[in-house]
Amino acid sequence: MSDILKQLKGLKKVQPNKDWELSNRKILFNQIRAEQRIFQQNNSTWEFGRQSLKRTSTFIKLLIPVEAVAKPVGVVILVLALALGGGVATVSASLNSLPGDVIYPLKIMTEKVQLSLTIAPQDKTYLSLEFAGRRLDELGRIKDQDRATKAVNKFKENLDQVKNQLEGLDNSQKIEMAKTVGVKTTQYESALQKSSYLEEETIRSALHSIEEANTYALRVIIHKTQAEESTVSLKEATKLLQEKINRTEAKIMETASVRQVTATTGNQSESSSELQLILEEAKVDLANNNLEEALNKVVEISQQAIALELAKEDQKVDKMDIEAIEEPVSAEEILIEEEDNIEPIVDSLADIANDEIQTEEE
Amino acid sequence: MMRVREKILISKIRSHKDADAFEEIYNTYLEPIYRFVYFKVSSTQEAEDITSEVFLKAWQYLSDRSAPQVRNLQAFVYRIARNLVVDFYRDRAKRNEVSPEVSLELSDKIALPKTAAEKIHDDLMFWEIEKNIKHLKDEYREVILLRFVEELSTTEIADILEKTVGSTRVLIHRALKALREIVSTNKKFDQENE
Repeated sequence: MSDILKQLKGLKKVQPNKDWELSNRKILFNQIRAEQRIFQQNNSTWEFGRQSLKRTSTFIKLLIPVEAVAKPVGVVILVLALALGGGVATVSASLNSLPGDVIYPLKIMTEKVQLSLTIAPQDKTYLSLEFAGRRLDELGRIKDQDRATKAVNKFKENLDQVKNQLEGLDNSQKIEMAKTVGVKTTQYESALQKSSYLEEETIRSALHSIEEANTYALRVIIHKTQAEESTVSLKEATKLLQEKINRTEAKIMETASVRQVTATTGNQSESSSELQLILEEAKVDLANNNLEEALNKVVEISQQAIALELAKEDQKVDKMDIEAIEEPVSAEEILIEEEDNIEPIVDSLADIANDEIQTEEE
Repeated sequence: MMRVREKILISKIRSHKDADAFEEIYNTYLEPIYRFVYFKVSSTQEAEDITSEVFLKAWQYLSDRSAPQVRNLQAFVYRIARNLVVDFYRDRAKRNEVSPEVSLELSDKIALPKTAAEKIHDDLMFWEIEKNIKHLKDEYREVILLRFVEELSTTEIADILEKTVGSTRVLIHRALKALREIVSTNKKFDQENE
């Protein structure tokens, strides 16, 4: 399996011929640079204006630190714009809006502004985390699939931001924030599992993002713990990991019991017991304080669980495909059978008619 | 390439036809697009022609201020390539040319490894994967290439193919399954012949 993937990666060596690449680049960029020159000649006055503006702004920069002024100026402009075009009422009304609503983009924009006005990196991370929570709130109030997908996409965006921002934090802030991310994502997970009316696919993709962020946070904590070798944080990290293992175990048990009810094929229950085996190994690692190893195993379990789910779904889809194909075929078959039957009937009818004519003639 | 960087490049090209900005895009996408086209048309000559057309079209569109602004550069470039390949096959069908047997001339594209033994091993590996990938239908070969050779994410592939993430994931899953099946039947066949 991994052999195929390795071989596939080797196909990257398929590359354009160097001679062709050179000549093609030359031809293409000769043309493009010529276009650029013509454009610049036609717009030289504009270009000059732009350049002089640049020079002026460099001069102003020497007098006033622009960066310090830019943000407050931005705020004033924004406030003015809001006051003139709809006002604060619109913004607060937009807070209750849902994806697909006309004023929803305003809500997202307000969040973005809020984020860009926040300077402290850990506050930024926290805000993104809160915004992700808002998306889940919205998801809870949405009843149609289209909007739900939008909300989930935004939710994933927010969580991605959290991850990126967390990555950029200083060491001291990083671990505190990682803990918060861990707690919050766990809350989000249980909240999401309650919204049962959504399509499985939607929930699964949101859960996947949560899992990623959660794992990342835990990894940060574990790394930090190992680097410091302090017993207090080790205890804490162990506890967090233990909780994660417990949650994973609960999930495996749940899916295993569902499988038993639906009585699916043997190899799937085999796979789920395989998952349990890895889980046991993870527990042993945890007991031996091999936190990183244990976490890797938990990640492997969730990845395999996803693969299993996908395989199950695929089987379902395959079944549906077959049914869809079978229907018209069987209808055709009926027609063909009927055609076969019609001919003898027509023949015998003709015979009877002939007989009647003959008797009448007699 | 980072999304933000791409946005800057796009706006540079759009606002003052910045050739340097376009060259950055060209450098990033030349190889992947060439491979993508190559595995669809299976001929070096055609792949080269189509690839240069892709970048010319991309430039024309990006530098045209009246055209709608491109949001996702990667998906945009790949989509141009896909459309041009479709055009290429349509034209050929019109001209009634006999379609040549799909043959991926891989071995002469591969940079030669240092020792002879390594070379033979590599050639064998490529020959095998080339043979196997040839048997996949175009739809599958496309996602296999994007996912496992170019290592794009499912979301990125979904954007390129203009499909939902869910159906793309199922497509990748099936493509891999199909490839695995081909590999195992070929292995069996080889073993029986030995």
